[in-house]
Parts: sequence; structure tokens; C-alpha cells
Amino acid sequence: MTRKKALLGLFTDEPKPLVFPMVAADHAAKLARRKLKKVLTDADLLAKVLLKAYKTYDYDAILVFADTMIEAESLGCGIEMPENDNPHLVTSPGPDKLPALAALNLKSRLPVVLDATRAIVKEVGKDVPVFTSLKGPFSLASFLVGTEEFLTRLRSDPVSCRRVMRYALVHQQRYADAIIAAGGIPFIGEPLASGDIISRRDFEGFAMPFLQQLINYIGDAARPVGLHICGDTSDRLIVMRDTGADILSLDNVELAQARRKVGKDAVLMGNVSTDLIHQGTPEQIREAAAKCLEDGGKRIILSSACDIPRDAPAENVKAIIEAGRACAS
Amino acid sequence: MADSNARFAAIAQAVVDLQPGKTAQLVQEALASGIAPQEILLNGLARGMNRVGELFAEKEFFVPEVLMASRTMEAGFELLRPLLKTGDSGRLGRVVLGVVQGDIHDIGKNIVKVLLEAAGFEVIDLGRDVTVQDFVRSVREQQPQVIGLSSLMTTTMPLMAVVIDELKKHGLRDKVRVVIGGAPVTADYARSIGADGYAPDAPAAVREIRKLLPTRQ
Repeated sequence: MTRKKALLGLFTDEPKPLVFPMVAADHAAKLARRKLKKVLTDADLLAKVLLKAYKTYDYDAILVFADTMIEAESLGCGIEMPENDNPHLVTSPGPDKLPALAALNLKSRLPVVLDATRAIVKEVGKDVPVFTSLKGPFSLASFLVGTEEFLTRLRSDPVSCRRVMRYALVHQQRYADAIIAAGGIPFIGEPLASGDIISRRDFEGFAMPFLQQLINYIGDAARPVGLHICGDTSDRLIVMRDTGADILSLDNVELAQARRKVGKDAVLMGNVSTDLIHQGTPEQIREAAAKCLEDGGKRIILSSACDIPRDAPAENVKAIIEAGRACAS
Repeated sequence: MADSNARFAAIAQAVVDLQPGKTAQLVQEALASGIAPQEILLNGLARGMNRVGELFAEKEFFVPEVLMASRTMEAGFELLRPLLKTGDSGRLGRVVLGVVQGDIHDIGKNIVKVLLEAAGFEVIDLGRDVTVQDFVRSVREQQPQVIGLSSLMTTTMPLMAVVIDELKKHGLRDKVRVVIGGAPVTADYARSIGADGYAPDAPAAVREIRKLLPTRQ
């Protein structure tokens, strides 16, 4: 059976747990001993290091995730890109100076991700599901306005927030089209919608409607769509499910509690602590992974709670895979 | 007195209600009625911000509300600042704050800053992505009673230990209390690197720093 079929199996009456730790460019670059900055600016290299990580660890799906700033940068955000660390936001165009929404900005690094997706799909796509990271409209809008300014405006000027989110939504619909055309399945990351940052009410009022529209737009063109939200999302799991996302990727949430809340049909993904993956022992990780599998029910994709830390020891990532395989056999 | 108390309560409430215009107006009226600016700051604005800190700790308020509250407090504080005698704002001591190098997550640190200022500390904010050398230099030059280090990533957390080691090397460690915080930081970790205090969230940071400076209360 191909890994693609195995993934779809999660949505049938005989689901079997899978393993899919979120290995992004930073960890993959380190594993392949490449400079992160080079990897984030070179599609071939990005594809190469992600494939190397896939072959080293042998998990059930691939995530094409360069860095958080890809889309924001293409829309006029200024970023700083260290040689060996993830880029971060330095300047934002602000709500009133967004570039006109024409076609995707192909002079940006969007093609790095799209071409890497294409290359990976070409090499292993017959067998392996290839997900490509897509920022949620709430997080993208926050980068475009400036994170603090955006969050303040939720209270002082919500109309401008919604306007920028509509803009971000239209852009992400086009980017999703391009991802799907490249053979990727959108995996939405919405880090700013975390329960550690905004209230459930704001999640419902601002983040949710745009996520729902984005997922509706993707429709059946690519499935299953993933949704990852960082931090503690235990108060908004049902809202997350109701966005229409097929896979709910959870960070700091008890899986047993999550399962009770979202019901038996939802596919959960998670959530071995990234601190543990970074600093724990393989034995501790196998234990934590076994608990995820026990608590998460059958429709579970065993994964890291968030992206695998750049400097996580390889044997710790391997321990997650081993725990997943031990459970499946 | 009854009149003053009603004014203080209204100002505090306007901060909690996140209404900058109303806060400024109430502060203006309080000044016009002859109340001393430091009284307005302490019993009105700071009391409101303390309540905001509590609401944040209780998960009634989230980051947008705290940011908006700080903007609201600032709208009132702006009117008081030129009237306050120097020393009032730093009467509880001087705190240097910064997010360690490589880390650009500074919302938590900013909330700590607002709450510390509202509580009566002078805050020197080094910002985010601060090098070890800059932390050491600021301790030498600014002579704060407390230095607060924040890290939001496991990858940058070890730099907090480096800051403490460097303070020792430069003979500055016994001159300053070190408090650390940030999502991945734990009390155990704080102890293990020899920090004096640890705070899981912003209101706790204010409590912890107050606790470390008992002689000034």
C-alpha cells in the first residue's frame, strides 16, 4: 500500500495511526549540513535536504516548509535572514500600503517553495503525500500590519484588521492554487491564532471565518488539508474542527481531552513536546509518543507538537518514528 | 477624598475597558480637580493596569487586550509624565529587560515592561535580539537592581546561562538580581543556571521582582 493510501485510510472505517513529524527546512538543513540561508533561497537545495530528512527518518508524509516569512516577504515585508537561523520580520508595509494584489510575486521566494514542492512530488509523490505549508490569513495579516500593531488593532480598529485579512485571504487562495498545481496539499499554519495569544472569541470572530473560507476555497482540489495552531488550543478545538480542516495538528493540548472534545471522527495530529525532542532522551520520547498514540485514538498522526527544533538530535526524531511503527505493528 | 477615590476608580476602570480617549479625559479632569499626578498614576492608571495583569493571568484577557490596555494607560500617562517629579517612576528600582540574542519574540517582554512601569519601576528596555555583551554592558553602566532575561525558544534559552556566566566573569553577578522568563523556561531551569528568580508570566514577573527587592517596599 502506498503512503498516500495509508493517509486516506485515516478517513475510513479502519484507520491506522501514521507518523509524520514536522521536519521543516531548518532541521533538514542541519541534518544535511547545509547553510540554512542557502536552503531557504534555493529550490533544488530545499527539495534535496527535505528528501534527505525523509529518507533518513522514513516517515509517512513530507512537509515542504521553508520558513514563516515566505508569503509575508513576497507582499512587501522586510525580513532579516541570518546564515543559519530562521528569518524574522523586520518591517511591515502596514495596513494602508499593501502592494496591489496582482498575480503571485514570482520574484520573491514563493517559487523556492513551489519548485521544491514540484521536485519532491516528482521524486516520491507517487507514493508519499506531500504537504506544503500555507500561512493562515490571520497570521499573514499580522505580519503585513506588524504583529503588535495588528493585535492592538483587534481592539482599536477591527475594521482595518478584517480588511487586511481579506487581502491575505485572496493572496492565500492564489498561493494555494499554485501549491496544488505543483502537486502539494496545503498544510495551513496559523501560529498567531494561538490560545496563548488571542481569546477564543477573537479566534471565532477573526481567525475562524477566514480559515473556513480558505479551506472551502481549496475544496476538493487537494485533500486532506491540515491545520496547525501553536500553543494551547484546548478552548477552541471544536472551532478548529469546524473550519473544515481534515487534520487538526495540536501543540500544547492533552490529546485525550482533545479527542473527547472533537469526537472520534476527527483526525488529530501531535504532539510530542518539542522541548523533549530537543533536550530529552530517546527513551523519554518513546514514552511520550506512546502516550500520544494511546490518548489520541485510532485517527491519529503521531507528530511533534510543533516544528522539530533545528538542533534536535537525530536519534530523538528517530525515536518518534520507532514509537509509531511499534504501535502500527 | 470620596471624590478622589471615585475618580481613581473611574480611571482604573477606563484602562480595564480599553478606552484611551476616556482615560485621558478622566486624567485631565482629575488633574484639574487638584489631585497630585503621582496619586493619579498610582491609584488610577497603575491600579487599572494591575487589574489588566490579573485578567491576563486569569485568561480573561489575552495579548490584544494587554497591548490595548498599555496604549490606554499611555494616553493617560502622557498627561502626567511632564508633571511627575523625577524619581517617581523609578521609586521601586531600576530594571533592565531584554530578549536574548537570536530571539525576536518580544510581546511577553513588552507586557512585563508595561506592568513594571505601572507598578513604579524604572525600566530600561534593551529590546529583542540582545547580545550577551549588551546585557553585561547595561548592568555595568545602568547599575540596575534587577535584570530580566526573556527567551521564547529552546534554541536561545542557553544564552541566559551565558549572560549569567559573563556577569560572573566581569564581577557583576553580585550586583544585580537575575530574573528569567519565557515560554520554554521553567523554575528548575532558572535554578540550574543560577538565576535569582523565575516568572511563568508577566504578572508573576512583577511579583517576583518585588519579592527580590524587599527593602524598597
